[in-house]
Amino acid sequence: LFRRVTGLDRMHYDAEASFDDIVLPPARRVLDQIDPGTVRYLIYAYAAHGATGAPADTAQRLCRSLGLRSATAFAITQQNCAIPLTAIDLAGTLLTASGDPDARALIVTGEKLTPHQARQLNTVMLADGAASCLVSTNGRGGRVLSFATRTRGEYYDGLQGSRAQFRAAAEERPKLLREVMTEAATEAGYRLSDLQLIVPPNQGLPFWGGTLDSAELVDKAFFDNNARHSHCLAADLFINYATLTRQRRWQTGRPSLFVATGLGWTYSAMVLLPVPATARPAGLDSAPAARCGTPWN
Amino acid sequence: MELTALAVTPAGQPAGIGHEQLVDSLLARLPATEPADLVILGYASPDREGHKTIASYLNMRTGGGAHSFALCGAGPGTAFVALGVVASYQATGRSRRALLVVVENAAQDGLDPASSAASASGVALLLSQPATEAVEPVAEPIEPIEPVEPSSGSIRPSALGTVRPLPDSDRLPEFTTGSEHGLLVLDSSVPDLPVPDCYRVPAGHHCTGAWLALAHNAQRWSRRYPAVTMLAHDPAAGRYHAGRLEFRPTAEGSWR
Repeated sequence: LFRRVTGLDRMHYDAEASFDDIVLPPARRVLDQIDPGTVRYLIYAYAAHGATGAPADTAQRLCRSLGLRSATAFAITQQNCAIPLTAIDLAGTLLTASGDPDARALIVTGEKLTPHQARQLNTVMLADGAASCLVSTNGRGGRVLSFATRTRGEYYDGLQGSRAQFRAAAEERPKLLREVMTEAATEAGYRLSDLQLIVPPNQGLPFWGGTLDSAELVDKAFFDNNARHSHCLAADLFINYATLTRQRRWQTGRPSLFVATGLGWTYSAMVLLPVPATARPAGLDSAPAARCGTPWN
Repeated sequence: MELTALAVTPAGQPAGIGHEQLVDSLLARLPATEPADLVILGYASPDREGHKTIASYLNMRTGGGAHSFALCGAGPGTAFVALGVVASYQATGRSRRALLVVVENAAQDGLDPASSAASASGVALLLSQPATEAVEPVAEPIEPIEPVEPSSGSIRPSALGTVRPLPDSDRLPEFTTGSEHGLLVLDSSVPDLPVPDCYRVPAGHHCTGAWLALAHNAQRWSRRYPAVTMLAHDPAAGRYHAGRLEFRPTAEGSWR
């Protein structure tokens, strides 16, 4: 089913790897390129928000483990897998309001689910994966041009919603996705057809039916990591950004659209102007760096 | 930003009550207002019913058109960090009207004991951008705020004053040694300080204590002090969190 219908193929899972083994290395890779003293905020953005998810002190523990002594640490959640775009928006807002051009925010994603937790969602394969992203207001990395979001709180029961609710949410998903995508593109000054790529999370191909399979958009959608990594919850978008950067897929001066959705349901879209790998100077400080799964890619 | 309404849950909420019930209790005590454009649910301990996205529920209950998410992982500093987030969205013109709700479970099995509270509680803050147009001098005395009934929750239908977060720090903030803070409200997490004009928040709440104290005492404090500064300490993170409320002056230039 997963291979033939959803387009998922492989997933990384290491029973021996701890949360720290997965989450800390990409964060350290990002920090290795900058003065950690400039990191004013550590934001842990995660999807599995219940009592069986990440412990309550995770953000503080990450902050200590990464040696960020002057950073304010906290977590954001309850958008499930849509949270990374809100994290970027929030980080940018905090930094802009601070008025300090040198301040940075580190966004950390990555979760370690038990096999039992991972099986709760039987429409997609949930994998180990983590990525971190550095945000600044004057960096030399990708530039955020717009952000749009919608939340439909009537589905707040998540996986325990009724069949009727799941059906209704699925039926309205294409329309809502189209709305936020168009809003983000318009706010950035573009039409959807102007954008180079549309980058969704790796939630399986059927999820995007009625939206990214349209004649206008199907050639722009980036689905490669569905087969390569499966769904790494809140880390997907950063992992996909890193993959596209490493593969030198970004075209100079052409913005791309990132789309995120999460149970509950939240739909978000963000237009970014990525910096092609060949044009990036050494020591870039505002593009995501990501590592995912085991073995590290 | 203006603190235009403040509501708290009735005292003695039972242990194990869910975040949804706490949110319902708070919404029943908030005055009806125009919908918020930013909704943040704060907590130190996660909900036992973890499948529910209560931030989305809160958004739906207050108009459904807001940007909503939950903020956690900041222990006793939760409300203060969230206040900083709201202030940033308002300072950058991204929000005009925000609803910040902080809820706290009582002790629950399987949850971090450090995050336990004696009883569940919640506090809701409605935060608005100050009017951008010129404000006429007040011609009549401002309506006094209603007496507080701690057992039934508190409602502040009119603007209490201007609230702003102060930077968090790994050291005791310098303002604690001066007098510009007005009344210093020390959360139970803060070590004893030898300062005058100081109110010690009773123990028993992990991340709502200072705000519950504000709701229960605001009327009395506003008559005596121009401002209150609330201070919390997160011993696990080694950080102090603070926020200041400057009460709205009356027409005569004095305080209520």
